[in-house]
Amino acid sequence: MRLFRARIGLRTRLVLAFLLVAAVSAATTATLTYREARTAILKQAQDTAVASFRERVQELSLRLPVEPAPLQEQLRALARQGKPHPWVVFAEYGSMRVSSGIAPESTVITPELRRAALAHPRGGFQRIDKNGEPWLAVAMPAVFRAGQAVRPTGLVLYAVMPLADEEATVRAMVVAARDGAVPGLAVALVPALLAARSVLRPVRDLRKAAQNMGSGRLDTRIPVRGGDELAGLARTFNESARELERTVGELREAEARARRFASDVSHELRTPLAGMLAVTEVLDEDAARLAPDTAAAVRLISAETGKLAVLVEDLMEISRFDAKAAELNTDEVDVARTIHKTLTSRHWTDPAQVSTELPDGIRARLDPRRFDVVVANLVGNALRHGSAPVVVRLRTEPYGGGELGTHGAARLVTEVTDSGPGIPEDVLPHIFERFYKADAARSRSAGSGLGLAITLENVRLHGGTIRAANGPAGGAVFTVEIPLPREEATA
Amino acid sequence: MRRPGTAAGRALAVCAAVTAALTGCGVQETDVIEVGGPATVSVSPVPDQRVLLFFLSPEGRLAPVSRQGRTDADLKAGMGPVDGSKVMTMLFAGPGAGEREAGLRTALPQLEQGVEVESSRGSVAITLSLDVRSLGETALRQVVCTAAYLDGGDGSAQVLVIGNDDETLPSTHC
Repeated sequence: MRLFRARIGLRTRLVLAFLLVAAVSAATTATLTYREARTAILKQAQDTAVASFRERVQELSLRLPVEPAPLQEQLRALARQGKPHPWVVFAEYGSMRVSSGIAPESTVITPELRRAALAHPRGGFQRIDKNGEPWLAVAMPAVFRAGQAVRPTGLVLYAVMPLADEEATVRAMVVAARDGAVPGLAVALVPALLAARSVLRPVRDLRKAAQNMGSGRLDTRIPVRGGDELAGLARTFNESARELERTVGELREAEARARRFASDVSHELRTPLAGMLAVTEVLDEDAARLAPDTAAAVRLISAETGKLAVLVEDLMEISRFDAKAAELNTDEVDVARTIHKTLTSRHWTDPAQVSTELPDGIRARLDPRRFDVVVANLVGNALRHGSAPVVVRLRTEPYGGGELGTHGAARLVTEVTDSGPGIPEDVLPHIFERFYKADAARSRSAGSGLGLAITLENVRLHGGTIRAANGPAGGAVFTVEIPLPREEATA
Repeated sequence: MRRPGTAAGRALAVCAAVTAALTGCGVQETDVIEVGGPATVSVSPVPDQRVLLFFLSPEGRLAPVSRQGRTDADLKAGMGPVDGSKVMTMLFAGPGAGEREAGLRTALPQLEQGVEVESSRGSVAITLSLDVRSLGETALRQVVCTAAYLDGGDGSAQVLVIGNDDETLPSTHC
């Protein structure tokens, strides 16, 4: 899920970056073009209006003071000559207000424009926004030649025209810019996705390869495409993988050699040991007739030979586990009966020594031989290192510790508890290691030193777990848990 | 995933803001922009036939008034320009009915006696029968400008205004 989100994240980021660049450049170009074009359009309209208005006004012939009636006639003539758009002409003289239209005074003309036209006899204009509509007001003071000088007549003419056409043109440009930018962005999406793909495909390959490596396929390699940074990364990955494969191969080989050696040694020892055991049996029988010193020596040899035989058997067993040659031959068994059989065959039938709490009717799929080894090793271990009485308990438990439901997965729990002093805390973590001696002084114990290691391997072969702990009363508690298939969960 | 998202969003918002600030869609208002000179109109009667008097507009600016002086017939008869003291008397008489209707007014007081005008080349002396120091600035400008165009003057003459107690104001021109 996180990998998925991370992949989307990188792609999204790349695409966003692309789109951002495209949007910024499109917006900048559109903005600059728009501004220039708008300025040009408005400038042309304004300049045309001012120039043509001045030209028309200069054709006027007045009397001073200005008389309203003839002036109005002249204004009407002027209004018909509007350029670039029809205009309404207003005249202001003293307190007189005359126009070519109906209203004598314009609502568009601002006080600033009036003041400017009266203060400086120069043509001027102002763009005004009136109720959201743009208007152009041109002010043209009328002057006349008097002798040497040119004097203001006091008459100011105003032309007022809507800039609706220019506004429409400008708006059309905005629409055009937008209509151009949106498909542009859509087009930019294609290279963005392609670029994202070209980056993401090697990344995806790398991730898959790393996953393969993690799951043990050390021969995984990535195809190297091109010569960019990602190709460099793939090359480095391949080199590292090759080196790792070589090192791991060497290690595995060395380990296999060591295991093979142990296995070979125990095999080689078995045949002479078998002969020796046969000889010691004969010697044991005759020991009674030998001199006491010789008899003691013979018995010692016999006992040690027996231990050596056990050790060799255990070594061979553990070698089989190491070589993954151990097989599980499962059978549907009654667990309580299996445990009873184990105890009986080892002559652990005295309740003062070994007591049991084995409910009837628990059936499971187990390898009877291996389960026998597990129980025998645990009970034997408890008797050797702990002290009697040893209790063997059997039960089934649902996973999670709740009530045993009809559909819940369950496990078979076998518990072996002794009444000894328990296992020291510092020993507990190592108790299942091979040849681990809990007590350095007691180096020569009856066991081979492989018993618990073999037990652990057998439980693992069943898919179960084993753990060692100290009970509340002080004795060591070994707990074996083996999962039960669902249909067998009902006890 | 979330961080770059907001970063991109922020960038887009900034872009939009910049774009909006740069353009401001549509047509914007402006201040008054002056382009070129005024419009020169022709004023009748023609310069030879008119008498220019300067009154005041409602805003207090000088407003020239052009009255008929000589007619075509007068010109043909070889009549000179209208007498200067007569013109000054017309000025002090104030705007006529039509002129008042157009909002024109005067800042000059009524005059009891006539005005003496002495004009020579490039200068005009006006003698008034009142205390000239009591005249306001606009009133004085009315007198000076009207005087500058007396006797067919071209408006560039130096004007001396002299009061009833021989008080003489510094010579000025219109």
